[in-house]
Amino acid sequence: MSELDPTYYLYLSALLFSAGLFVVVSKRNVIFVLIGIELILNGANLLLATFSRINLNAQIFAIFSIVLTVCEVAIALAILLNVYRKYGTSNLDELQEISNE
Amino acid sequence: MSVEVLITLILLLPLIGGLADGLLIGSNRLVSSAFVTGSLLMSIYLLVSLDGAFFIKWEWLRNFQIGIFVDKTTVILLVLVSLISLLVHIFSMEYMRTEAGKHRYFAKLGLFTFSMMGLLVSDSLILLFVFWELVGFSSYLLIGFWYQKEDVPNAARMAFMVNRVADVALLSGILLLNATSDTVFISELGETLFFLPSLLITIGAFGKSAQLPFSGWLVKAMVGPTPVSALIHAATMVAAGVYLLFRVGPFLDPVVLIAIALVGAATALYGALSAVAQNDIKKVLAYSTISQLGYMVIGIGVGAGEASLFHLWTHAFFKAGLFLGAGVIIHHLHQLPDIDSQDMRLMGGLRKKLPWTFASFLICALALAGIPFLSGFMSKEGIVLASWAWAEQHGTWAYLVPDIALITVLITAFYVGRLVLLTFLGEARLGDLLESVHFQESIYFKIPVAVLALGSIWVLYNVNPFAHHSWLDAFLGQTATLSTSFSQSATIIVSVLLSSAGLILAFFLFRQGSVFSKAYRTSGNPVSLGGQIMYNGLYLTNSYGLIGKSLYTFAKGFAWIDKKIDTLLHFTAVGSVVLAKVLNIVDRLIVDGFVNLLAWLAALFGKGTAGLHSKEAQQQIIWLLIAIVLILTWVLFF
Repeated sequence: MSELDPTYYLYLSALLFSAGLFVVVSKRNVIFVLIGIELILNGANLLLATFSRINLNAQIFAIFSIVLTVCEVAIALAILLNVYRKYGTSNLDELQEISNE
Repeated sequence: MSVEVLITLILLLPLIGGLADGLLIGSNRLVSSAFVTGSLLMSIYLLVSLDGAFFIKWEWLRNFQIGIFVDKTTVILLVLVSLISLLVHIFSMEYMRTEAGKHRYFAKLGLFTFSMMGLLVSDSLILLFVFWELVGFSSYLLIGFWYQKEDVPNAARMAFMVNRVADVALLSGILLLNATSDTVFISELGETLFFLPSLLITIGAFGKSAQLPFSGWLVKAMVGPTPVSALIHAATMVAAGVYLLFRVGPFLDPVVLIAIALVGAATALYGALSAVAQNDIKKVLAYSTISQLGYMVIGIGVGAGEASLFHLWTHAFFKAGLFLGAGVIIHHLHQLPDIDSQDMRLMGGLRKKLPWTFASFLICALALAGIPFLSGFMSKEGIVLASWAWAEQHGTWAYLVPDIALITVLITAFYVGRLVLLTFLGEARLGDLLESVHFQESIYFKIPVAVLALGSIWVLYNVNPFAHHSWLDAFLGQTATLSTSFSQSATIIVSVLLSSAGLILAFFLFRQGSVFSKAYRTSGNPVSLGGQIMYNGLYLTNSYGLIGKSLYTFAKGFAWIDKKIDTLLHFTAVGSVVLAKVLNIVDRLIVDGFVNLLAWLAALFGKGTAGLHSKEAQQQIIWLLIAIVLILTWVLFF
């Protein structure tokens, strides 16, 4: 198995991160923001996986990170579901106004 | 009657009588005379009945006692005061008959008699001071009786104020005594007083008794009615100082006693010399009173207080007699509206017009001159002898006092001769004008002057006309005879020679037809330096004015300096206010302004940057990113 140049992984990781960030700051819907966060985290995981060539500890870090992400998504979705049920919206701006009141 | 009631009545009767006469406008002023008579009778009864001494104390304020003390000396003086007061009351009934304000006059006389008697019975010096001021006040009231006349209010004020100056000393002395010794009761004084209280009390007594340098007020006091001069300014009030000195004399500091003797001698000489130069009959008598008070003060100074009191007694009679006699003359000459009724230059030849007055006046005058067989000789002799004995103990310089006393005898006889010759004897200088005067010696005039003249005869006191003690010694106490019999007889002979010489000299100078007597009608006041000094009584009254004026100028100078200081302070205050205002502006504009500028800048910056914080989370994240990118750029590329 030929070794792929790790630079591409880094590019991909940066792409994922930037895409996630863009989604986070641009989308109004909370679900999209959550998806953006997932993208950012996956970008970071990819980075960790890439660097595990140098140090295996990075792999362990990545696995922990994936587990944490799962937990986070599960809890965040539960909260969002409840928020939606209570306020009847999933728009971030509206939610912010409600929380400011 | 118990002694307390008697004393209270003796004191209060003249006051009540005076008040009654003061309030009953229409009465003929008999009430006060009657009341004073009652007072006199009770005094005599007390004199006969009093056994030993009587004193009573009571609490005036809490822990503060005052009291009265009555012994034989007090009572005999009470008799004297009430007797002279009665005679003056009787005299005044005629003298003031046409006076509009006579109810006022008798009320004041009553107040005076009450105060004088109160002074005599006071034991506590504080109480004595109260009466002391009261006699001064009533004296002021009576001097200023004719207050509508020009100069009278001023003279009354001067007499009052000069007395106040001395009274300040007396009050300070009493307070000092109160502070330094256990008692202010005269009867409880036991040991010699300290120097300062002695001196201050003595100065107070000098003021009341017109000793140098306070003598001027007595002459000014002559503007009062003549009977008042007889009662207050000859017989009683001016003797109050002598009485006080007699009471405290044995306890005075020895140095002060010597000073008293010297001042008394100086005053005796001063008064006699000034009396020679006067043309106003009352001023002659006033200066003569000063001179005789000087004798009494000598007596105190040389430790013969009893002789002084004897002289006080005899002097009260003959001097009151002289004043009342002068009052008769003034009363009659007053009918001529355009002349000065007190000017001796307009008198002369009154002997035939006023025979009764002349006889009494002559007896009193000779008593004053110190002619044997009259009271003045005996009492004066006692003082001269005591001063001689005192001088023998004190060394050569001390002979100054008896020497001056003897010289004064000569001068006294001289001015007495001049007085009698120029008023009653000689040619009638008023000429025909005198014929238009209606001379009528009223019984109210005759009785008082006659009684006073009779009181100056020697037999009343001692059958021996050359003795210097009398039956009064039983009441006044007797001075131990200190001098040898040789010096006694020598003094008596010298003094008789001197008084005779004075009278003879006066006779040759002022007898009818003499050069002086002829020119006297038109003569002016003395022109020579010595004559002027004598005429103006050493310029004492002028010097009071001068002292007052210089004090005033002094005060004005201080006021000027004060004003300057005020101005300076004012400017300082204004300056500091201006400075404060400037500082205020600087504070507000520069210091505060700087701080405010910083605050304003911070606020501006804060407001500007506050806009960065969007309430939207996504924008915040964008700013966060920008910040991170900037930081990374900084870290990586610079």
